[in-house]
Amino acid sequence: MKASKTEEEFKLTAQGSIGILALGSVGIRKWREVVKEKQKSKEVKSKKDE
Amino acid sequence: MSNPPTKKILLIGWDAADWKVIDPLIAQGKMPALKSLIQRGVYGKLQTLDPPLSPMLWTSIATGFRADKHGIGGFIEPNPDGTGLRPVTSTSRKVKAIWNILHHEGKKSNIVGWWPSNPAEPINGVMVSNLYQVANAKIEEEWVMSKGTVHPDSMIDEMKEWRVHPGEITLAMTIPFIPNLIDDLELRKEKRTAGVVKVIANAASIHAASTHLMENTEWDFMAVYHDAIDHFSHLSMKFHPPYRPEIDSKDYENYNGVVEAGYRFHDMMLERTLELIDDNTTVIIISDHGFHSDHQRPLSIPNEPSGPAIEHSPYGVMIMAGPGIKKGGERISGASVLDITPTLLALFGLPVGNDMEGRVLQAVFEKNDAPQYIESWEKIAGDFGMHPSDLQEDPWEAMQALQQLVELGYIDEIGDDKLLAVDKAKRENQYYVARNLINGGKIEKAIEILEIIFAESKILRYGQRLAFAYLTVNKLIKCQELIDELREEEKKIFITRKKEILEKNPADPFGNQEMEEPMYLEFVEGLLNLQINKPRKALPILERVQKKNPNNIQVAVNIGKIHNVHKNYQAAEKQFIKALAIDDRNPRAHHGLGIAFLRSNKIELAIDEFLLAIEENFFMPNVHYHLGEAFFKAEYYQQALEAFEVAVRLSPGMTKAHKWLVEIYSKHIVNDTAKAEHELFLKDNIKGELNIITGLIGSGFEEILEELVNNGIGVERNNSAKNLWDKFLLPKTKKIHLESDWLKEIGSNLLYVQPQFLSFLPPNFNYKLIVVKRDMKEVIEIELKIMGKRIKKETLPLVHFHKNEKNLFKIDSWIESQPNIEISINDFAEFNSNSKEQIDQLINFLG
Repeated sequence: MKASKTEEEFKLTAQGSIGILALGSVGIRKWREVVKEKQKSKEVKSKKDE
Repeated sequence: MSNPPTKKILLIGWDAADWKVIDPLIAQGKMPALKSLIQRGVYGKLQTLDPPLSPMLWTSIATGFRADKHGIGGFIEPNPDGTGLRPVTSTSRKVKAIWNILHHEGKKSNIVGWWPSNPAEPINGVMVSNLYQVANAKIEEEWVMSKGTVHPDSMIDEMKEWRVHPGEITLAMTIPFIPNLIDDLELRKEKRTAGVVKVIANAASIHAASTHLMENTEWDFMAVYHDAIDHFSHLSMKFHPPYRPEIDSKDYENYNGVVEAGYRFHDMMLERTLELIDDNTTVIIISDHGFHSDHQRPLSIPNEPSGPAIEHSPYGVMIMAGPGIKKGGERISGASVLDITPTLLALFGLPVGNDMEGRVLQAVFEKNDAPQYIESWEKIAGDFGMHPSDLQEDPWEAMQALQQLVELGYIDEIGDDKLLAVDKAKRENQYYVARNLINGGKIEKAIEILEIIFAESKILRYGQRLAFAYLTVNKLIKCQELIDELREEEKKIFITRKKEILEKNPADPFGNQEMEEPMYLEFVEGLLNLQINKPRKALPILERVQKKNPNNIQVAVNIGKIHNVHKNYQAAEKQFIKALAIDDRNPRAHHGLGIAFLRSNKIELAIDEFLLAIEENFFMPNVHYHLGEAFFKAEYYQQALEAFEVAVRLSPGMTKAHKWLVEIYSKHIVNDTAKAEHELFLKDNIKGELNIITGLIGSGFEEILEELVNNGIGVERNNSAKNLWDKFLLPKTKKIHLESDWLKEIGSNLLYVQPQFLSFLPPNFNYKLIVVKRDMKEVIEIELKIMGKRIKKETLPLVHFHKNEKNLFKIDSWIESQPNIEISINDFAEFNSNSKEQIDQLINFLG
């Protein structure tokens, strides 16, 4: 479906982008959430690996 | 009916933004948000002030005052506790800022990042100071919010979230600035790369804080200051295309995209910001100065405080759009950073302080209503949301008070090194204020400051600006003497430097004797020679300066002027075109080019240039005069008449314009009444031209006069006199204050007048003045010889010295007081070494 493809294109990653910073407070809050989420899953994964 | 007051204003500061970078980016579609804003409003250049130092300029922007009034001179100030220096603070500001006035008027303001704004002021609204974004800890450590960063205190925790630490900036965020980071791991460790990362983080912090406040608070006025364009530019403008062979090619490859990415990042931030405003908001984007991005980029930075400011250019940007502002992208001319606060007040429907140094930018408004004025906002008492008075202090005075307490034994000794550092910083600060005063035409006040700091420190930069100030107010002898003194100082420094280099002693940045502009002393010397009618001497000096400093517009304009005087019109054209390549709106360059065209009979081109000069600065009577001449030559008599009429309105004493008007009214557009009016003016006001020579007894004027007589120049003299001095020193010149009618009879004859009698010469003549100077010791020797006394070897009788110095000072004073005077200053030593050339020059001067 076209709409989901667009969504996919703009998927926020932990790497972020200059565009995210340009969104100001909204962009930074969202991006930090993604970074946190990634960090969490990383920790869970490393615990599992242990 | 007046314009309805604007409801909200968003003021965005982009430090150092420059049209020369923006224009091509807009043309390539790389700054769409800015482009659409321009199309919805107006745009133009914003003239900076000298020196182009950001804390001083952003305070002028926020107050409408220059540094001598607002009190922010430089980047640093003393810590009130005597522990050395600190970044300049908001408590040093002596006048009200726009947000204080708005507070008093019941409006809410959000101020983010303004420089300087720490500690945040207790205004109605939120203030986030310029220390907000500065990371003072590593990313894994707690980043404490410094005291005074946010007002009100209740907002501190809320605002902490929006700070972006440089350690958070990812590779993906940095690659648009430095694409080679993708696979160059070494490049990631470079200091310059770290600098770019830090600037991105700082800009993101300011933007996040401001967007948060825009969305979550009520406000009438919002001011957001970004320093990132300035910082990106200082880091990497030298690598911005086009490539220059002097630049390291590897660095160029790595960093040539930083500046462009920086501007595009700001456009993206702007796009988001504009989404957060409503139709009732007026948006203003400004920069405090520009940044050289082309052939004018310096290849090296002077090693001295504020040295990097050499990269700044004199014009920033201004864009305005919103209710009541013209639409369609019209270009607005003549705006200055001083005009922002008056214009903001007018937009809010508030009166402008009569004491503010800027003006309301009427040209931006759709309707042109007269602004309202009050005497001064400074005189109005009440709550302005300012710091309590015990916090507001002059840190330099506080430091002095502290030193007094030390002397009284109340507090511990402040270390000598700290006192020395404060002293040096204080002088440097005063130097900036003095330059700002020169820039504002307040020369006498600048001279007062420069004389003190130069006497205290003997720092050449201070002396050089002082020489320039002397020159500007026609203290020509003082200027020459100071140039001589500075030359001696230069020699001494050259020797010390050599020693320092040998000892590998790093130079103290405050003591560094380099000038912000290369060869500034030579530049002043060149201008002085021009002023004293020695264009032949001035030309090679200014040409040398131009080689070293090709971007100095004043040098190009003055070389052009010399070529015009010498009738080398092609060479003059080249110089003025060179000047216009530096600044295409410089009125003096357009004027000079117009004269070159006029004298080489390219009349239409001349008219165009004069009109361009007038468009930039209407208040230049000589331009209107030359425009009149050009129209007259083209036989457009009505236009010529109008131009000459404007010239005499601007400069009522301009006799040559009155003469042209008599000519036009009597032969071309006959009007006997108007003709009679101008004839009467000429009859009443100007009795004619007088050629005067002056100099101390013993200065050698008599020998020069003798030589001039031998060359056929008419000189008033007493042929029966026994000696040379009496021959030219006519008794009646000592009684000019009693009887001066005889002056009308001497025609073009040269008359010797002693310096102390110059001030008695009547004011209603045009004067040509020749001044003869000589080494004071030689003068006194001759003077004593005349009196039949002998001078002891190596001694100088103080009485004679002081008397002569006083008389020389009288020459300067008289010159300053004369509206219609041309001057030629001559050193007798030069006459002795090459009398023929000197005499030729004088004959040429006398016409």
